Amino acid sequence: MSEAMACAPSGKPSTNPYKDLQAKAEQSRQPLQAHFEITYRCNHTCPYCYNAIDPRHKELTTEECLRVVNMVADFGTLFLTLTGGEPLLRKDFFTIAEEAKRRHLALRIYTNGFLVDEAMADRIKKIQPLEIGISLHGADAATHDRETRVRGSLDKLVAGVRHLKKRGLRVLLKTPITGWNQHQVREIKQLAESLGCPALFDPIITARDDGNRDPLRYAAGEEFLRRWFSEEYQDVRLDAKPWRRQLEQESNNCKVGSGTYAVDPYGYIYPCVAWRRRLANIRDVTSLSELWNNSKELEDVLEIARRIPKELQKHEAGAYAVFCPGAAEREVGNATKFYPAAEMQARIRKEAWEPLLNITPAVAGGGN
Amino acid sequence: MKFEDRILKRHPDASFQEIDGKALVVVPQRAAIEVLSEVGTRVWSLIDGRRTVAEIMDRIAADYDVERAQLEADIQEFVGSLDRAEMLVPQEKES
Repeated sequence: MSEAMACAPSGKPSTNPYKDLQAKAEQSRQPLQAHFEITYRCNHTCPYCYNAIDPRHKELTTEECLRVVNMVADFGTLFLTLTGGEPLLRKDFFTIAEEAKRRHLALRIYTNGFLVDEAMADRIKKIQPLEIGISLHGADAATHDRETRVRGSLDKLVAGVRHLKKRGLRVLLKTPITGWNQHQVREIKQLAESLGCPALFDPIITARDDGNRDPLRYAAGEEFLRRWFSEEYQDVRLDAKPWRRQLEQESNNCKVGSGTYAVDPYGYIYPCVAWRRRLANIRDVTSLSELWNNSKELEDVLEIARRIPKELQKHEAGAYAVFCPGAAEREVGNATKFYPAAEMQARIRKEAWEPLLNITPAVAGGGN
Repeated sequence: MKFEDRILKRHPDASFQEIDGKALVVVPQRAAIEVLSEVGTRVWSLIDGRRTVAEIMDRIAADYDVERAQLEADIQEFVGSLDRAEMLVPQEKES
């Protein structure tokens, strides 16, 4: 029985028991990750934000938010991200977060850090989130504050991060790369490291959730992206090691609906925070399990997701694509169609990484 | 205090979910995820801040065909691994 009782901390983990369980959860339609956008209100006005505020709708009440948290826990979800907008703007933020903790959900908070003073950091420490993700838009005030359009926002962020780190909390600094900050990515990483935080860069700017394409104007330029995916920035990128997907063996390109889902401030449920197909409204469903087992819309989404690897195989650079069906649907009206930003980045990765992976066109079907 | 008399209590910050009979436990203070076996999950489910190690062992002995000495050794090792992983906190017995 020693073997049977062994758990990872005893020092004898299997190859990757977490990934095994994750796969089982996905097969049995028990998404482990949920994003709960508790408000779209924000004290920053980044011009490329993907949130679409809909004034026709009312935000969920505190009671409704607590119901969402309980439905998420009852569904068997493990990780809950409280995000926004700026989630700390909700006066009942800690009521919601404490309920998530009471239900044993592993909590992540995505914030801009602007409101995190000593007192707020104390309250966050009490709920002991697994991680606090904070958006860092530049290495200096001129760049960061230009993006947030709030003077002093970088100073507030840095102070907030220090308050959180002083309390031993894990803070991840997340940077969407834009045309305005692309020249500073190395300095941004240095700033993050000086604050004791890992830096995570995202080179993808997407259209707004309502389909408005204005944010795309702020995306990093192709010339920079060529350098970004080259060896020049290998030490800065998260995926420092070049990769190539084995599309022939992939049944699902992303975890939409099977590994993740999202609820917006108005109660609408989506298969992913990035794919805005409404499955239902939380006010109209009794349980998420029931929705997941009976939603025709979800079946449609899962079927589309299953088709994506096959669709990508049709493209020369498909194996290098980071493909989001939600972005595809918003940008070209078809969730399986290669959209310009994904196509461009895949092409650039292919050109930069194929030589590093020692892939010649003759064996391009193989993979690494 | 004898090991058997110890009351086991889960760390209040630990998050967990059971999948296919196995518990996934997130330990935020270590930013770690631990996976328990089926028997480990059964023990974890019995840890409630009130039961002693002896009481938990009695329940496991009723569920599994195992020698008492082996069970004691296994439980001791398992609880030690939970302690090292910061998944438990001290709990005094209520008087």
